[in-house]
Amino acid sequence: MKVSPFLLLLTGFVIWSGAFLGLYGAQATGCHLGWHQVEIGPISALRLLLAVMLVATVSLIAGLHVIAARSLGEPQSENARLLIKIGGMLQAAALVATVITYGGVMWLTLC
Amino acid sequence: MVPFDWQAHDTHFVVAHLHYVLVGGFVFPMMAAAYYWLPHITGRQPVQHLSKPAFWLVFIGFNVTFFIMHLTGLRGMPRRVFEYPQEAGWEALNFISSVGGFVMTIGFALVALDLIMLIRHGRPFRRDPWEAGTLEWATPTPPPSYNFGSLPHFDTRGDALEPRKLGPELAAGHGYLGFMRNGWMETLSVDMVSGRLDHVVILPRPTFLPLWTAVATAVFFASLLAKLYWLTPVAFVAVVILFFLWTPSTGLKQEIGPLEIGRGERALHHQEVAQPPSWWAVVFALAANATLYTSLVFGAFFLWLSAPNWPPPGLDFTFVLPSLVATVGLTVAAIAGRMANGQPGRTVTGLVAALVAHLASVGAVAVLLMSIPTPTGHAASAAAFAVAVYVGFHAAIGAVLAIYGLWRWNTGFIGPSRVLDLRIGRLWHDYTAVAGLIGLAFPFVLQSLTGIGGR
Repeated sequence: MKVSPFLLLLTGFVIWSGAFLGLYGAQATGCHLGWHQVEIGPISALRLLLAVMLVATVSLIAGLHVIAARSLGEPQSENARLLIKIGGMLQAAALVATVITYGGVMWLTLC
Repeated sequence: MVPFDWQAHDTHFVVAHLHYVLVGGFVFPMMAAAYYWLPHITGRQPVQHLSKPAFWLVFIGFNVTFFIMHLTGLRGMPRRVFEYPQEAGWEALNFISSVGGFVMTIGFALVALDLIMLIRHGRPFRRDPWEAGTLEWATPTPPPSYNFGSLPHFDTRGDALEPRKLGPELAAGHGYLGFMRNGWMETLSVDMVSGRLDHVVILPRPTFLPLWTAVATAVFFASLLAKLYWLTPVAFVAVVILFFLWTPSTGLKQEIGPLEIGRGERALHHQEVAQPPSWWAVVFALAANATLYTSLVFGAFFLWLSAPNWPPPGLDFTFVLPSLVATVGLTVAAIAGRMANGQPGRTVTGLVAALVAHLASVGAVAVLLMSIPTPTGHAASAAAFAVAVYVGFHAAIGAVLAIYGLWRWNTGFIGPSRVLDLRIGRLWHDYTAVAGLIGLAFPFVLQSLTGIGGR
């Protein structure tokens, strides 16, 4: 898949901030509607939802990192190569930031 | 850590810490910058050297004042008190701080005096007094209104230049754009990664229009503050007209192709390229706008979850017909905006269609606004009203941009490779379609949610 190198610069942390809005909104909504009291196996429905959202976010950013890493192997102009390299690093940074900032949904008290 | 937090918070310790960070991190660098660049701005060198005693007075005075405040703070003196009991035992420390304060004040007074002496009575001096390595010192000092006679080309890092040699070469016009044509004020735009030449930017000539636009903008906001609501639309129309009056000076009446820019190279006029600064400006303005809009919509949902008195009694947001008309209008406007591509026929048809579609959306949103029950009665209605106003306002600006496109077409500023105005309009129409569809769905979503989530 061909991705514009400039787009790669933006995606990581835009997805990170989108995930913030999404997780925060889902957490508040779930608490309001009582999803944290619905048990699904050992965990609540709300925790399951948030965990799925977190995994989806992580996979999305990781996927973009892989795309960046793969495009470095293809023939590119010098400019594109530099941008893709920085873009790939930014995805990696966004990935770490996502796990650190949102990982808590796996174990912290939800409501 | 708890006892330290307890002792440090809201005491003089915080005042001391804040000023250490502020003075060390900001005030001293600002003074250093003034001493570094004032010789550039004024073209003068200092004769007296009051700056040295001034530095020591400020440095000593600042440390005496604020170091001691750490101690008064640790001894429990709270912030923002002007009297305290005699038994507190803070007098000696406060007295030392006060002495330091006077010393520091004398130091700052000396700085001010020194800078005035430099500006008024300094010795005129040639360019680049510090033998600096950066480009700004290659202008004459004080710099003329145009800064550089021509623009340099370099392929090395920009911090090891020789401004003293470079300056006269640039002044002699041996760089890019070392000449005048058509009375234009020109500068170059370069690629943001490689620094390679991209295009020539033609700046508007000096004019008072920005000032009048700023005055009209100020009147717009002041009229809202002063509750002179009849004045608000007048000021708004004035802002729009003044903005448009500014545009003819930067347009192109025919295709001109690559321009000579000196050093044997050529580049296109900004009206003939894909991403000139004005296009980026609209992209960034829309990104900021989207942030604002997201906050507005998010705020309403936040209230749904956390505010008391939800759901509101008798909420009725079922205005299907105007919402449908506006949805179709915004979508058609975005498609029609893409149709206008600078070719005869398609351009006028596309712009007229976009204009009609936007006006239809504005009308539909107006009907919708009148159907919202008691906008001041409940936050849900107020939020629906605000979002609808946002959508209607964007459609109205879309209509204005379509009219602008038609005006530019009729006055000959648009052609197959001069489509900047149309592309800027297209950005707006696209954004308005996306934001508008979300905004039109918003009241329905809010209504269905209040049904399930009320407390």
